[in-house]
Amino acid sequence: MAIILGFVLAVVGFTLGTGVLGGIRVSMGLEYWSTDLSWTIGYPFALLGWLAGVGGWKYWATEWFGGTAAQTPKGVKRYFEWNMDHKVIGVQYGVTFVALLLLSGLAAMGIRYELMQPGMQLFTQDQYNAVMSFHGIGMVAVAVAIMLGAFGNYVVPIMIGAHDMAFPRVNALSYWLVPPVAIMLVIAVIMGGWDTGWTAYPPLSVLNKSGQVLFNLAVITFGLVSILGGINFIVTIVYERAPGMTWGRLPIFVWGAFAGSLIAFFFTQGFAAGLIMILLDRVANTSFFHAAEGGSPILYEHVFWFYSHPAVYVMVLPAFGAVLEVLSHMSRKPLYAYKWVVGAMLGIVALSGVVWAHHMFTSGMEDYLHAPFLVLTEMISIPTGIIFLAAIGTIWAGRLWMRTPMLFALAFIFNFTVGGLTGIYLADVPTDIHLHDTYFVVAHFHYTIMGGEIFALFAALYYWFPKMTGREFNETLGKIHFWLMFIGFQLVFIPMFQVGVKGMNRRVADYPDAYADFNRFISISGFVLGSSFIFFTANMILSWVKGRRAAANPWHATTLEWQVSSPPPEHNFEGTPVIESGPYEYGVPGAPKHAHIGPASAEHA
Amino acid sequence: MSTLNSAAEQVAQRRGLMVFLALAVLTVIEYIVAVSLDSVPVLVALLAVAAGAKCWAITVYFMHVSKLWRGEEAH
Amino acid sequence: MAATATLPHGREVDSSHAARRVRINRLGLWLFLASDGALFALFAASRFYIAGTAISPHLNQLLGLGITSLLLLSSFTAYRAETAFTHGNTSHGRMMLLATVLMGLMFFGGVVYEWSIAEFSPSEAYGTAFFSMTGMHAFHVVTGVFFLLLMWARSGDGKFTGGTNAWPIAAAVIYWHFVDVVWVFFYPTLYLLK
Repeated sequence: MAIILGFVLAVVGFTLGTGVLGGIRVSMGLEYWSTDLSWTIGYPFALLGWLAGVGGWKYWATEWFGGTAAQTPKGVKRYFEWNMDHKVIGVQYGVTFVALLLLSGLAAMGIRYELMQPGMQLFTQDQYNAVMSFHGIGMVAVAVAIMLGAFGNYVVPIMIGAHDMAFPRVNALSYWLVPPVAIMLVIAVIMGGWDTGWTAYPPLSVLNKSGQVLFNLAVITFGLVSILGGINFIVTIVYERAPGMTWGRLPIFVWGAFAGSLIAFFFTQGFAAGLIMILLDRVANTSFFHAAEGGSPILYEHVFWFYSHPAVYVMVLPAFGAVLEVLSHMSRKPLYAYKWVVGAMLGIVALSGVVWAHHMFTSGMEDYLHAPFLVLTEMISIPTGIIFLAAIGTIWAGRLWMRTPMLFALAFIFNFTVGGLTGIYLADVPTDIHLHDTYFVVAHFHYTIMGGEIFALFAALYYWFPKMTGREFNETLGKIHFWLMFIGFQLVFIPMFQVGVKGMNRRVADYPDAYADFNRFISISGFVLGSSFIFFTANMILSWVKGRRAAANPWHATTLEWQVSSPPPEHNFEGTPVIESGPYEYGVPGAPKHAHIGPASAEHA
Repeated sequence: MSTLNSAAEQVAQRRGLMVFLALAVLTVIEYIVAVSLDSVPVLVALLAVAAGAKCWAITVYFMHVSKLWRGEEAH
Repeated sequence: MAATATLPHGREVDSSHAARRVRINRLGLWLFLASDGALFALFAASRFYIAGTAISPHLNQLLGLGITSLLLLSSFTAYRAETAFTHGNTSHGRMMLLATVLMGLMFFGGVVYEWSIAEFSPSEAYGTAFFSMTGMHAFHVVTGVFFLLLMWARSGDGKFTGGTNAWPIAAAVIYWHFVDVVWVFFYPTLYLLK
């Protein structure tokens, strides 16, 4: 099987890379193995071996050297090896990242168990750091990639009337770079972990255990995934739209994916650059972050946040799109202020690159940077406010259809409002200096990303589940999942604001007794939140295996993906898509239908 | 070069040579400015202008950036 | 293949499937270069952040000017190669590809030589910038040489000759020009300041 071959070739590549390095080192009179350096050199070879093994050679690269690429198989087998169909890749992304979501969620349960009472119970302090760091990067990876990877890949090409992504082979490549990321992170934890959280601040990240090196290599790879994916979406949306699918008729999720991709393709290099500098400091003896030699740890924070603040918009822009999509279809109303929403999304793209230093108000950076970054950060609330008002305007006086996706979409509006309002205190320098690095930040961040993006993710997941699997999900289990998750979520993170204002530090394995009551309450609420995912997982597995066959258009929605069978045929459309108006003309008198599938033309037959 | 085929190719190749010569001149100017000038701000400004001009010439004439929005011309 | 459309201002544009594919690939390549360029730009910015505009007095300025000129000349031969291939001139194009590869390798050799004689260590502030930036650039030079060699090896039977067929050549050459553009900024940044 392809995956096993991938593993074998990865091990071969790693042995080869480290072997050559070891040979050179021995001949120079050094030891054969140096953990930091050997992993850094061995890993790229392992990666190449893995990619070749899972099908990158057989189905693609052999062509470069004069060979003939093989045909990809049909049936279930194709999900377990290199495949270039965007629908297969969408499912691969979806399953992989839901698995990573559950794994990182399990880490969160471990953290909450440890924090239930003062003192150390479950973990040692080192283990706590490793688990906390794994939870952080695992969830960030899920949040960055799942909306675009799973739903962007599956739905965007169909929505715009394309037969596939612009670069199907690059698409497959970017998916198959994901498993090595997850595997490297797990190996890093097994090797003893790394203790810098997901932000990897030096000087600690230059001095700590070798798990840091694996973390860096994994996340650089993940950056590549994000960049290649972003480029693919941009080119697809620019050039692969069907005739009649003008920019003004694009479904809003496509706009969200487009805006998110713009950020991903340009800014991701910031994280990569920071991590490469750490690696160079560790293995090549450079001094980017050695203050004694003239380097500066503050440099890392600038470079890192130059990407990592825009990254939250990579997470939420497609989420905004998905939520507005669900809200409009489930309210049976036109999307309110479509053009303003598009403008707001592009405005967020523009502003996202000039707000990063609001993460650094207490870092010791230059004082004159405080005021401009305060003002620029607050300006972001204008476009996000427009999107929020458009959501309210869309459901206003609508006939709401309260199915599971709609519940999650409505919860998104509530949570994101809380997240946005509490963000003001962190953007303002005077309050931030008190609140920095407390649980207030943790609560704010989880309200925007978990309450925002992850709730939107479930709205999207339930909404498109029938399309992607061809099965209906169980509505009762879906609603139980929603209510447990929604209530649990509020009960976990509202008290965290309080305990943060009282000064409890984040990322620390232990705390003073005074915070004990709060933490017991938060932990118990956390287990309620965690238990909701049992219902989710059961629902997904049961519905996928033996759910009822889904109709082509269970939501009676207008967009193109619902005008084809569930799941769609191999090349998406049996005929030629015809687009005649905007996507949300519900109840607009005299408006033609947004799209339908016309007879097959000679060109695409 | 006697191996050139068509008039169109000759025109294009001659344009390439002109651009290359301009780039070479700019590089020499950069070097002379750098060894002869002592004021760092002025030096940074001049070098930035020179590098910007070189970058512009390469992207426009060598990399054909305009084909991005003008499409592939028929030959 | 022969489908052409005339735009309002009378210029003919190839609207065939092959030309459409080239358009798509071209945008993808440029986006990749922009993204890669951001990485280089961040390293260049870091150089000013940690070392200001200082340079090491031990730099071999003539060597720097030499390899810079060599890379510029290789950009010119790369241009000649691409132009020859698009105009159906396979033999001249292949010769120019080979010349480009040769100069690329000489540039790489120059960097290696410079590293071996450098009288400053990577642990100094300037050395950090110098070794990391030239190293990253040299890595791109090597990959560029690899692509150009691949094109040279596969272009013998004329399958990359003429119009849109020449896109693989054009892609490798655009990448090579990009490597040169990076050096256009890195050369003054690393060598010519005070």
